[in-house]
Amino acid sequence: MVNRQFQDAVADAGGSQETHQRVIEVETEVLFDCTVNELYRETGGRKGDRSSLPTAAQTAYMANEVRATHELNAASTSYSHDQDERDGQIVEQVRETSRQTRKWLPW
Amino acid sequence: MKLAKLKERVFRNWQQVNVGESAIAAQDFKSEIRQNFGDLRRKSTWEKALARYYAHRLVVNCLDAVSLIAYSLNFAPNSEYFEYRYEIMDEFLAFPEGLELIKVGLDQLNYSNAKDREKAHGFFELVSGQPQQRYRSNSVIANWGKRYLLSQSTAS
Repeated sequence: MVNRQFQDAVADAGGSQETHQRVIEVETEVLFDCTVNELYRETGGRKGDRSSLPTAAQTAYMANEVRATHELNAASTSYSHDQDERDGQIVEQVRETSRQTRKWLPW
Repeated sequence: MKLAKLKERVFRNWQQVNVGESAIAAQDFKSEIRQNFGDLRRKSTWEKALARYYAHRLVVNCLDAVSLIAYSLNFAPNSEYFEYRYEIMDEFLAFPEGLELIKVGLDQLNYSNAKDREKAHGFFELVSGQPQQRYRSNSVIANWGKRYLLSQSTAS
């Protein structure tokens, strides 16, 4: 549910189609220092189904996406009208939120 | 998509496919494109590469399969990927995990509401095979697409 709201916030902020994938890649890299592929592979999860990830990983994503949703909703009106710039701003917003979240994670 | 942007998008998708692998360089990129898709001066070379790497990226780094249905494979006419949608779907389904991810995504979607399904309209329209009827042979997703479009027309 949280992930749907997060992706809705990306759409509402005017993110392009590819941006939905980019934000996932960037939050995963910052939160876990790896790719989505590696996260599933190393935890033995079922790809495409985050409920198969360890609880700690699910919680980290959830906490981050609640925050990122809020940040995107708050900042989206100030984003550029140029699509590429706007996508970049969304991705950077998610990166920054993820950095903040990372500080609270035990790893 | 203009050629310059097309090349940039191919590079970005290629990077995401290869991230985490041993050191990657722009040199590897060009030689890989040339080897797999042909003459770098031709736009069609880059279009084929875009479809392959975007699809590959979605397969390897799929966190939530439902996002494929709702966003990443849900092509709206205003998306820069729209004109390559059929090629992307072909490439996606050519990966061994592709169809399984679609099934997982459809299961996840099934538990949500009608609004969520509506959001995925572009995906269902694509796989239902209209107007090209390309995915008729792939009964699993084609049936889903048809059922969805039928429910839409009944509702309206």
